Amino acid sequence: MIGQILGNRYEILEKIGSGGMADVYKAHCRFLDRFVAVKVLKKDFTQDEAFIEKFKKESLAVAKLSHHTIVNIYDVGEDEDIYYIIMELIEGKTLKKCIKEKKFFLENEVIDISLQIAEALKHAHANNIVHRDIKPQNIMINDEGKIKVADFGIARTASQNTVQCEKEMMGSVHYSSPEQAKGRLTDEKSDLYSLGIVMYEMATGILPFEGESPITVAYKQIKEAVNFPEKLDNNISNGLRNVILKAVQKDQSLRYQSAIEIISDLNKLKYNSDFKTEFKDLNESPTMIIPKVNIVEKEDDTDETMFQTQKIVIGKENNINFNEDAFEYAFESEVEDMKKIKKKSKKSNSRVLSAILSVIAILLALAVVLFFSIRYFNDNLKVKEIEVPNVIEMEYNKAEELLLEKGIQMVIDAEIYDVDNEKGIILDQNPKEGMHIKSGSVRVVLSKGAEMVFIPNLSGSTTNEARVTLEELGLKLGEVERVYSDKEIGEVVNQAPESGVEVVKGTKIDILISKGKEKKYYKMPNIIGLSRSRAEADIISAGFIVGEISEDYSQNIAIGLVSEQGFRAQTEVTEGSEVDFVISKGPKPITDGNQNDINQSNANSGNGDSENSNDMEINSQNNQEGEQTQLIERELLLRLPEGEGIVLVSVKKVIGDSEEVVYEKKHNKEEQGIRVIVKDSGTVKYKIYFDNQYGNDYEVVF
Amino acid sequence: MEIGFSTDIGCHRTINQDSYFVSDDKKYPYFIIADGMGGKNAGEIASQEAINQISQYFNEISKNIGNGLSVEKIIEDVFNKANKFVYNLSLENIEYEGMGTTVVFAIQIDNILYVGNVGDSRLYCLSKDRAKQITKDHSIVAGLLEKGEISKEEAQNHPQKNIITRALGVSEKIKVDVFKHEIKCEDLFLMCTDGVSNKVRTDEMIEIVFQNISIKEKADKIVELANRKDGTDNATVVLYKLDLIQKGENK
Repeated sequence: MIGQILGNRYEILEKIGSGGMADVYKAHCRFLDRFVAVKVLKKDFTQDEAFIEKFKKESLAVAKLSHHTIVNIYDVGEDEDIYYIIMELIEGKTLKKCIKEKKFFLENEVIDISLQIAEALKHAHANNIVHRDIKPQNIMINDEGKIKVADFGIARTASQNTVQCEKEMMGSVHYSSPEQAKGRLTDEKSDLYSLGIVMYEMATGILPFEGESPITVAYKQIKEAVNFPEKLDNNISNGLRNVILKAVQKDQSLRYQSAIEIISDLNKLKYNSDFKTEFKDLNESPTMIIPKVNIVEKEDDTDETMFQTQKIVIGKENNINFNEDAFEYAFESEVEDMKKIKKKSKKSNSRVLSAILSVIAILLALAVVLFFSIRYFNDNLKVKEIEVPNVIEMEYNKAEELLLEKGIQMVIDAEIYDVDNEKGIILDQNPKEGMHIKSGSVRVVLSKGAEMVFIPNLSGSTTNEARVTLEELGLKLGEVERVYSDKEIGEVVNQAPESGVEVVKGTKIDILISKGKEKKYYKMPNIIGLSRSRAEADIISAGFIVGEISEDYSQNIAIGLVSEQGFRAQTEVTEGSEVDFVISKGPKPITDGNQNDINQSNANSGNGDSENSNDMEINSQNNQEGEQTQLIERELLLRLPEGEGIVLVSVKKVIGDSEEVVYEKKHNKEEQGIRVIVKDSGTVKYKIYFDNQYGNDYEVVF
Repeated sequence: MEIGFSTDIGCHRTINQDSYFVSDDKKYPYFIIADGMGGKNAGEIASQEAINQISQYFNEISKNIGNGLSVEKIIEDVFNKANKFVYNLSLENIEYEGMGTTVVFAIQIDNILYVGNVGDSRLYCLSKDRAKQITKDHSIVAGLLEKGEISKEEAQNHPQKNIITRALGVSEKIKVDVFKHEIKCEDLFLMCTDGVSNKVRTDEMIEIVFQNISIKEKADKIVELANRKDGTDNATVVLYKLDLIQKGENK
């Protein structure tokens, strides 16, 4: 393969990788003078028509993806029986290698990388593409921790036998979901499972399931629950562990249902390491979030808080807020702990109950005592109410502090993009300012700041394609300017801002569209009256091409000379245009009428046959050859000055020191060339004046 | 001894990568079937070469049978040598890069059928009421099926059913499974490539092999059925009935 040129364009330089289905090479794109990665389908599959079909179809689908966390596909092609995909060449290493080197990542690194992978999945899933082979070997990471996911959705299974060495196979099996191992239907949630395993590996430096053979590992994926090792050096929070555990649920319906969901949880974790994800119940009943407040205060029936707190509440330290069933399901091996917690919760429940009962008893007693007392006493007896402060437009941390001071828990309800507010600013709260609550929490909506998107590379697409691409990303098409370019007419030549720049959603992207190659215009020379060879030379040196040459009669132009030209002289004509011209055959013979004329024409043409005009500018005609004493007529061919308008042409015969006007007439410059007949004998010198300005002179031998 | 074999390229392939070899040697009859993988004709080369090498080595080494060298060891040795040969071939020639082949090698010694296997070609022992698969496919799907994690139907439709974890000629070393089967007089052995086992159910095999037709026709019929059902792959069948050796006969 090395040295081979694919599609007349990509020169294969070196092999950089190999997988079950394809080899990957570094190549140089000759058209765009850039390095690319080429994935070449292994020859084993090139006979499998169905597979090739699938491969092509899926490659094209993946080529439509455009996201900064996804390795771009530039081109899909075939060259004889070589099927290939041209991809962005990524500098950096695989996440697998990175994990091996680092052993494990810090919590914020895990969150950050996971978010990026999830974003890639979100984009792909939105385009109905499931990756099916998410693993750190397929994720490239650069020094800044920016990742790109490769190998999206390319056909992975052929109808024929393929051998994968165990090591290669292991690579995928370690991350494949139970449904994949079983060969059942896979969907977006299968990718999320694999992401969960990748997250586990980043967090712990090890894989949840290891085994001697791929079969053992696949079996464990189906059967065994994921557990975290007892000791972890990097203090991975319970919050993150729970997100991972939710991602790797065996049952698809218990996992995150979409990339968006896991992104949301990861974002919450970023702000709040105490964040607890909600595990799904097998019965699909959503678990409520329980605020961390002193519940003894709570008991009024006319409660105006929006929160239901019917679920178990565990003491302050063990603020675990998911449903027991889901909890047990998630932590098969942590049953021991679970039991302890349950006991505790029961204990605290009973404590709560007795507390509530005693409060009621006291209240009842007070009520009896004060039954007839004045109303205002009531106020003093009521449980302390908290007035909700305003937190809108406040920064997340400050708002939380403020609320906590008042004993209110803050819960992030949602995070939304907002152009006007910076990331972390609270956009909305519920309950609103001034409302009184007995206890509970305030739900807030956080700004994620302006949604940023990476500008795609529009190069090569049409205006329409560019618009679609931009709109899909939430960007807008700005000004479209048409410029000369070597690119095909209608293709995007350049864009501003350039691709890869991160901008706020809604930003307008201006593009330059090719209107084809720049055309140069040159002045058309005057070739009337020139000989054929001279005319050709002039045409070529002026930047044009000699066109069709024909012959025709001409009343004005002597035989053998150019009598007409395809483009008018002095006009601006596109470079490279073909300039046709006509060579004079002399005046048209007249079949009836003046006998003399006929004779003359005959003489003319007879003379013209010799086809030589010594001087290009002068055509000599011997009217009466051999009669030397007689005056002989000669024709002077004069080229008029270039330009437009009228010019006075004077031909003066030089006699000693004086000059005698032999011809004087106004001509339109557009005539370009005129013919002046002079009659004399011997050698005569003529001077030519245009508008009384001396032009040049001729010596004519009669 | 009755032997029938049949092979067909299938409707969608241009090359038959399946190869087989039958030695009706009276002392040690043996049978080989191989399904090659690799681009262009590399798969064909791999399966043919594997079979050539195995039969060649086996012929050399078979005189040591009974001289203290276990049959299992001999089979492993034979596979190893063939593996090395095919692997080297794949390294030497760029066209053959990555080629490999499945191999089932069955040899009758006394009244025992010794079977060496790599990959997912199969040897069945058929009787009127059941089909026993003697070899175990080297694939994740087969492994999960065996552990009961997936059903037969799921295995049949598994997208990875064609991905095998072992093959001859793809790496420097090879792990061979060796099975021993005590031959009974009614046993009918069927060796086939996955082009057959993926398409033809075992009950259909039984139905055909116990028809009153010649053994060659039986083999043809099974291959024909595989083709009729799908025909996307090469299909090869080697069918044989072995003679039981009366004690002392060979001594």
